Amino acid sequence: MDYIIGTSSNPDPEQAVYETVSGFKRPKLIIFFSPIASFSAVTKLLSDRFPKTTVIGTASHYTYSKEKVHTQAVFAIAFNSGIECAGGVLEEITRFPLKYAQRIEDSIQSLSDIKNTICMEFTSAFSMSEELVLAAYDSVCSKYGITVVGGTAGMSQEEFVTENKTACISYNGKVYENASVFICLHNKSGKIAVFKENIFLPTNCQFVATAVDVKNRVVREFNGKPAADVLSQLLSCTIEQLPNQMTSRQVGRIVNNDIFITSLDRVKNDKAISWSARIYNHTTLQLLKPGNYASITDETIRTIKEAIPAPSFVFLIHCLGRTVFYEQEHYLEIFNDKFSTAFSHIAGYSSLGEQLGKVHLNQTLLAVVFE
Amino acid sequence: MQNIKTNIIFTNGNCVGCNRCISYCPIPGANIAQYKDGKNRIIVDDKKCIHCGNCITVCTHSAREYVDDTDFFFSDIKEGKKISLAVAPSFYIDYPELAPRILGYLKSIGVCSIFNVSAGADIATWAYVQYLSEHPASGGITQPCAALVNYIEKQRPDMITNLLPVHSPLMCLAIYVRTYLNNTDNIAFISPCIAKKDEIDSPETGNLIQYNVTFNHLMKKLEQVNLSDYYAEPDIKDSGLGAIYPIPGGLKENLEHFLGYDRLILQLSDMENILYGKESLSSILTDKSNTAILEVLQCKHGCLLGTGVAKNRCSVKAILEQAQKQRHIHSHTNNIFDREISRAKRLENLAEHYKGFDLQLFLRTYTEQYEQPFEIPEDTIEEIFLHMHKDTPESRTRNCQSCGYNSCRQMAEAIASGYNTIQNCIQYEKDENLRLYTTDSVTGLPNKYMLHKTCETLICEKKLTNYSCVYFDIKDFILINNRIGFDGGNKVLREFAVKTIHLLKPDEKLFHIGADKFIVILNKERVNYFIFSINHIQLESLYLDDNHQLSLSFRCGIYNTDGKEDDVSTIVNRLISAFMLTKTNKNLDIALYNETISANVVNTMILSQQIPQAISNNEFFVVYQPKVKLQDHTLTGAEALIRWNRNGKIISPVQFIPISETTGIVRRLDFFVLNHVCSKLDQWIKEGIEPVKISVNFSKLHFSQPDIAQRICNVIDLWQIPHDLIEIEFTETLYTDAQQNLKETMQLLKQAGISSSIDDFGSGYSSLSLLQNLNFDVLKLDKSLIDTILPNTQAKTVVNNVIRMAKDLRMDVVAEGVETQEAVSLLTELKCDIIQGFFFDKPLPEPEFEKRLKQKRYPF
Repeated sequence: MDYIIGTSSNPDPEQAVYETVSGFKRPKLIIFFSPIASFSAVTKLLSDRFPKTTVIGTASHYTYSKEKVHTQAVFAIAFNSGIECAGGVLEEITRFPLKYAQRIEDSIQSLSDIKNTICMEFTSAFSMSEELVLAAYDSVCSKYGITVVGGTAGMSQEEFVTENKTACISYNGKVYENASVFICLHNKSGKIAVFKENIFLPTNCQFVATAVDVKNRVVREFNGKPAADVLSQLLSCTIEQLPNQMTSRQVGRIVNNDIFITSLDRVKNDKAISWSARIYNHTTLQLLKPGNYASITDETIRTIKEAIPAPSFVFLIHCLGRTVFYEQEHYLEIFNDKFSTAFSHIAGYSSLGEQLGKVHLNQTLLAVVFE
Repeated sequence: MQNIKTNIIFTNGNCVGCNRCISYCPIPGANIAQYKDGKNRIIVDDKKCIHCGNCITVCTHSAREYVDDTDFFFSDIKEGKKISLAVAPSFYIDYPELAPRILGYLKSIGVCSIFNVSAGADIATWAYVQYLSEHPASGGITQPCAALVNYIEKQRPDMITNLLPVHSPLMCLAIYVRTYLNNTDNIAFISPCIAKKDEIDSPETGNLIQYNVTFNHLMKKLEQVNLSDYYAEPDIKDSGLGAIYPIPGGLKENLEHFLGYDRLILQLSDMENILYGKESLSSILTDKSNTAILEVLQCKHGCLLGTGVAKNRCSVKAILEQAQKQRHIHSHTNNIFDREISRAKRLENLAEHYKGFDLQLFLRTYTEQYEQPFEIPEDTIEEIFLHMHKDTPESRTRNCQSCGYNSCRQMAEAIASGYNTIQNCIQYEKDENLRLYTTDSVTGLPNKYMLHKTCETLICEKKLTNYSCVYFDIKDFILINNRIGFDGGNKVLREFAVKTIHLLKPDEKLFHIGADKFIVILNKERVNYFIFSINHIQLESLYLDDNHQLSLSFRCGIYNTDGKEDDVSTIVNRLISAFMLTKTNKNLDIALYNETISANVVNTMILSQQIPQAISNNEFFVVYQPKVKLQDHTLTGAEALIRWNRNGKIISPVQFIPISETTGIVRRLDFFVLNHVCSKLDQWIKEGIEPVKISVNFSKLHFSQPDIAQRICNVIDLWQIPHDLIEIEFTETLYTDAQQNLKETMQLLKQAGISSSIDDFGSGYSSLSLLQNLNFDVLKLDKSLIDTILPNTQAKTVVNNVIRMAKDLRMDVVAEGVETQEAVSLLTELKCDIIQGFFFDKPLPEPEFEKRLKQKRYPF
């Protein structure tokens, strides 16, 4: 697989794009990341510059490269050869993304080979629709045995806590606020594997969601009592302290020994809690505590190397919540260094949600490894 | 989500949660079951509801209602707004006599013009004919039914393109009136349909109509109006067959009149069967080459008996007869709808009649409002099934439909989606009731009922001889509850239950029969192992925050079965007999049932039954054990002790006090003694005998009652005895059992001037904190301590220090059970204040004690 990575922290979008793509020739595919403020401009500049290239991108504050963790940078990966790709857009994701499933079908059909192929997607943030989007992807991809992997658009923690925030995605020069963009990517030179890493461990505290507004991802009650009361009691803190407490203590659902985490979004005035991934009514959740994340990183790298001893490229989709937690723990650069040292080429971004198969989750690292 | 009247259809207070509305609703999630305070109630999600009115029709509790614009219409008329009426043709069919009178009345209160929507139906027919002639390859569904349009827009995005784009007769009329007659009045639709409100409010219909006034609400509004003097004919009415549109097949008949029978035109009512279930329709619609036209109606009798018609006020037969009459009239109309002229001529006439009309004005679009449902993950469904106690394929396919859904699977999905509750599954409720009936609510272990069932089975199968039964409880569990609260105590029980179950073999069973009491049936050879093991169980719930850990110990009654037991009660009674022995004997933790225990238990039972009668028969009496001041050997007080004379035989208090404590009747005995002592003090005072302070024992059972101090004072005050003549004695074990209540009671007694003493100090778990925390006036050293003091012994040192400490705390010290001169000498040396015991006197009957009162000083 022949690819090149470019990046620039220049605050001027035009200059930033110019610097980022300086080494790009005639790529078949560009995957890019850009700060929210310059996202529209970068989208247009890239597509104008490479009109015959499939250009797919998402907003993000943090990006990862072999050198370091970048913030507020324009970051692009240009795939020149060794791949085949076709993509598209699922629109109206808050209501009916399945309506656009034929576009996925058409993309897959256009590939000459579907072996060693993944469907990589980026979804606009705050739509609360990742599960619907995944159902749409799965309705087609599962027929072909193609893994769906992706992330929600990203932003900085400061942007995240503001009101009326948006984080968009784009496809071939058009920016979307209520959509998911995807690329079906075939690796001509070998396998593509996806690895999921979770740093949180279960505790004995579990509770059942007993009153849920599924659509809006709001849990009104756990165990028949106001959700915020139950959580604050478990964490021995006040309701006001809950959001802070929950940066290091997560909530997850354990299925077949696997943990699927959903992050607390916010505590509402009526003691209901909104979450960043869907919680279904009458499901049991566990309070989670951080594990030894440093050794978990080592274990993940070991696992990847065992499965694919000579990866040509590792693409990381890393939860924003975890990124901020690592930053607080002064571990973010160490984490990046470990991956950089272990693998010849890495790239990635911090997302507001991670998607794998049919599951949308939070506080997770997904590593897409190309042989 | 609340049941709010802003919904078009809403639930009123009559709802009993029978789920019938869910059964008949075609839309998943439009009905939401809410379970609160033990009651189920079904409310409407207006966003999902298609306003088909099925739920209103099928509800047998009249719990569903709807809102329309009737009130707004009348209030706007009253305000003088210019309003004209669009009257559904079915109004004339449903109310043939009343319709012109009602319209006349409405005109009299301000309505401007009256338009019969049948005129709009004629236009719609023209528009259909025009559209189909311009698009000969088109087929699809006609759309006068607003509920149908709602259904397709919200639920069947695949069928949107099948909706023919011609406006409904109502909208055709409104467009005509607005565009061609330039009428700008507000228009109120006199409507047979609740769902027409959606058509009226739809962006696709351009705000042409302002009010949906249903027949039902209009008729209610006019109930008190005398209509006989009013009459009005419509200003505009149809020219042909438009009036039969509301009759099922009316639109079909209109189209066939012009298009003939070459084209397949189907009339299908009962939308539920057509759209929700039958695949055949889908195949007709999805066949691109098909040009069939379908007239689909939600209501069985079309708009004649639409959802906004008060069916209880109408005779279906009369309406259908009237409809037929209408058809007959219009069949013979001499105009473009005349059946006698050729089809070509009819088409020619039609075109001529609507010459100059712009077809595009009468066409509309539709908005897809479908919301993709969430795909509930299988693991979620699995978990919900388990919560519903559905752990077998059979239980998951019961599909009884009581919940309103067709299958258990659909119900599980509805629960996961948050629009139903687990309690709304009748099978769950049944299983839950059975579970509650057969298991303990705290630990989830099988309960007493299941113990009986299990024993019965073992007896029947003659397998009981293999097993022993152990009845056990946690010693001093009340202390654990006091320390960590009831919730904490329950946690302990739960954890203990889980860990204990792991000690058992598959054929052994543990039962939780209430509070901290358990019975286990286990193989005979494993009894010792079991008792040893439970005494060594470590429980996380017993770790306290201060790194302190509580521990459990047990009292066990064992019964080894002999196979001769023929009923469960024998086994249980024998178990209880053995167990009760450990309750009454503090030094015995394990008791094995035998015949002697049985005899004792029988005696105990007899005694316990006799005590209440004995109180009534005055069989109890009081004796007085003098207390003597060591300094000068004078009588300083006495302890009142109860005795029982049963048919001339004195029964030892050792026999009846523990029983009376077990049954609780000791509370009556204590007050009997107090009352008797007060009466004697009163008598002695009146007789001029100088009394001494008399102490009365009070059982720990009193101290669960917050008013005990007040009740003691009440008795003393009843006899007007000075409070300083009474002392209340508490046992030392009482302190550990009910510390908080005891402390409060003592404070109240002290405030009332009644002294208190701690009895039997040194007999149990003496602690220094006991002396520190409770403000006793007198400390009574237990006989067991006194018996051991000899010169130069450790016991002497202990007693010496206790006496010193008590004195430092300003407590008087009474030594109990003093029988020898040696003990008296030692206690004198240790500066003990008062002595009580046989050395001076045994407990004295009243006459002898009176003598002692008169002669206060002992001669030795």
